[in-house]
Amino acid sequence: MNLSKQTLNSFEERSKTKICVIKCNEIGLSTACLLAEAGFKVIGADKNIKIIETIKSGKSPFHEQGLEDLVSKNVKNGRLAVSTNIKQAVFQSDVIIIVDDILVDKKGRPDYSKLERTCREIGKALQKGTLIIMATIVGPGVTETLVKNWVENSSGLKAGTDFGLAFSSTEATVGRVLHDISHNPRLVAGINNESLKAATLIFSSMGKSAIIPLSSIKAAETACLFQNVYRDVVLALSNELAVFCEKAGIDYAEVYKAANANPQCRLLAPEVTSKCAQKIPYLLLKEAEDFAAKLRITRLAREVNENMVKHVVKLVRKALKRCEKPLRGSRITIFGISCKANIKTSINPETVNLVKTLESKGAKVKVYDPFFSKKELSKLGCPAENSWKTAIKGADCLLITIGHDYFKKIRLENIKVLMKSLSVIVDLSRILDPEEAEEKGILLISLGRG
Amino acid sequence: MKSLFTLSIEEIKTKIQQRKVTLCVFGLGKMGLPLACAFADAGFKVIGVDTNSKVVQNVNNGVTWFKEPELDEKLTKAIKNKKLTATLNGEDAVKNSDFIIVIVPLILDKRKKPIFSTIIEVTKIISENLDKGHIVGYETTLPIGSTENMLKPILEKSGLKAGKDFGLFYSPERLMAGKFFSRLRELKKIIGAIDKKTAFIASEIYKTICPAGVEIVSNPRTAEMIKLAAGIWRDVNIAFANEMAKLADMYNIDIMEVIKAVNSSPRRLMLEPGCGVGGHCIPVYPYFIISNLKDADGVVPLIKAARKTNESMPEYTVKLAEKELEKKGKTLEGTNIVILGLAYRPHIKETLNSPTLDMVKILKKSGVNVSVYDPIFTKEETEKITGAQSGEYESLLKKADCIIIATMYEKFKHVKEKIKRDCIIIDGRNRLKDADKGIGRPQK
Repeated sequence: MNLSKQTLNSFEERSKTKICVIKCNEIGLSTACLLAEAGFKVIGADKNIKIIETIKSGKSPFHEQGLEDLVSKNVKNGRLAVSTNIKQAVFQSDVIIIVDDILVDKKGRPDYSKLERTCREIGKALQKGTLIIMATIVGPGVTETLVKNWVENSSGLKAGTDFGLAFSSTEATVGRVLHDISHNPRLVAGINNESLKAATLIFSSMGKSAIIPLSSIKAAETACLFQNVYRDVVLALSNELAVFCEKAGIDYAEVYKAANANPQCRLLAPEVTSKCAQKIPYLLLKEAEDFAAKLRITRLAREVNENMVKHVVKLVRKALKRCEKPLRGSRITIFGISCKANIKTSINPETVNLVKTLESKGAKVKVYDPFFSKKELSKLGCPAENSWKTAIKGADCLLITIGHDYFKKIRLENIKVLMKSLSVIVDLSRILDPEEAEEKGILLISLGRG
Repeated sequence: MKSLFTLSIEEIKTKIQQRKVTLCVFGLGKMGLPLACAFADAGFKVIGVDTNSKVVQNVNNGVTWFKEPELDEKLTKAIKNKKLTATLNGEDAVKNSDFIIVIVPLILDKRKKPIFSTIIEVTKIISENLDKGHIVGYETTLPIGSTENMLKPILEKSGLKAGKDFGLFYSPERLMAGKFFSRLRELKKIIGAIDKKTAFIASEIYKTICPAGVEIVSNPRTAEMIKLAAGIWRDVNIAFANEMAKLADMYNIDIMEVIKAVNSSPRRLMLEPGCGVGGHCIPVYPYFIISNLKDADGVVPLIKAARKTNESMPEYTVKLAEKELEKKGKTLEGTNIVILGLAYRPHIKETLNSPTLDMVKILKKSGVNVSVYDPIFTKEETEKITGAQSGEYESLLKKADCIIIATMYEKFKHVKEKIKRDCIIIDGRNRLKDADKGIGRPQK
């Protein structure tokens, strides 16, 4: 492999290496920008013409901190190019990084068909000596079986001898992907030592992340899944305990904060979504089922987390009951649709789910989020308003789903005067102080507070 | 003059500062005795109560019967300075003290329901001798709501009212046998009282032995839950690790390598798999919640499932041994298996819920010739507790066809040097470099 003979210690040396990043999603584009910053010649490839055109004009299609600056700078200086032609991009490149998103169908089965198409396309243009890095979260073994076979079959080349194959992944949170992928530890493994070395070389020139080498690709894929499932399990336990506290007359927030004072305990705040990790556990569940293994904890954790929407509906019902109102016909205003506080990022699919569920039960729902316009929200099928005031005017119930600072600044008494005289607030993100609400005569139900 | 609760804040402060408060500690076990000694060391007069006359005698003679760093010198000093006395007489102890702490064990019966008889008996003694101004506190880990719903009514049978005539609080013991005093210095003390004044008095008292400070929470039930939540987090986390270890066994990858990689992220703290979770904390606390609920599967499904997974680990470990023996053309029946380790944690002489006990039962049923060895138990103790044979370390190892490591003592790491050539090593704690099989670890 020609790459292993090179060193990439200087900007100069790196500028002679061409890297193709396939899919310009949040992580893909951020990776491409950071590699361009390190000196590499980078091509971002994506079939989505709109995304490619946006990047070409020096703009970022995503609201990621710092991303637009890097896109504009590196498109201008020519180190970052984009293309909708994957084959051509692959043909010109020494290294190919695949950053895809695996979809999961309604039955929880991962759909690798998109990945297959990408791999076959790569194979058709693949040159000897190229290194392919899978930077996509997949089930254990997928890189060395499916991905390898697809590329080998379509290229006629052999992995490990004709081309290199590696796996790499790092944790990233929406909204701060650029920071995360250049700082969080990065797991790396290769089909052979050369592939591992080459992949390590590339990623160690990109940011400050510690490189964690693993002995096999399968172990790295598994570790990456476990990181996500681990969080899902801890979140599920936290949700389970929070709901339990509501019944036991205890405030879960008090419990988990005090319990976590012990560094050997890491409970989380309850949450009605596990951010963007919801589908990742299914990648593991499916593979495990093929082995006839029952993953009781993993599956239950998913169920508990997915049941949180139902629980919120229950809370709303309970809240309305306190004002002696039924859910049917009540006006409910939802504050917050994004899945992260204080930034414009992807919407929380569970909140959209919640809107639909409440509507199906006869409630009249309105949504307001300072980071999304009325038009954007309407597109998602959410009846929206342009200001918080019009959104809550005459509402029977206000449901706060996310702790945007914008909501924290709204004074409770201002909310109170706009809502119906007999109304209630359900606070999922715990931004309201229950004592203050009581003082001001506002009915408040908080998630996890009994 | 049990006036503590009825005094003014200033008077209380002065009394505590001058150590003019007599404490009474019910239960002089592995947690109660060090606690009593810590208060004696801080300068208080402490009366320790226990129902075991041997324990009382030992304490009064300044003799310890279990290992706990710093305990020996603290006990010797406390006895010499006449700060600590032990007695069987709970009635007098209550009458002669101002501040009462109950720290007696609470265990589960065979149906996994907590046995309250001990704590209720102690509470009745306190109730019968309760005076206006007394402060009563519980440190025993309890099911949520116990202090307010079960113990308070017993105390109020005295005719006195909690929060008005006497103080009542709950403060979970969160320390660890073997590290009692070092943890006592590091951890904040959680206090949940039924009224503000009791919370204040209890925090002033505990501050004298807890330099990390005190955290007052809303009520006793919150404090009860804080203790259980931390234990349950551990149990669920271990269950997750065990489930993933079983998967690693199928994939033939090393779970320990994967865990290390998972934990490279500062936001992850995945625990390790093992042949079972023993002791009187982690395997017990989940049942404090489960057994109180009619529909535990509906309310706390994850907590329940975690228990099931962790309780299946001794059996899983035996299966691993069976598979390895099969590879050598052997069956379980008639083979000699030695389990190394009986204590649920190394150097802690305690076998409650030890996975070794489960493994002995399973192996015996399969016709295995089982022996158990643990360096801190004598041959006789081991045989009596396990019902298996025991003996000298090296002679047991010589005749073994298979070894299962259940508790990790340093010397077990070199067990390979002492065994026959074809003896199989199953490492239930994933610490050996040369085991034939670990939990979620392929052979190296």
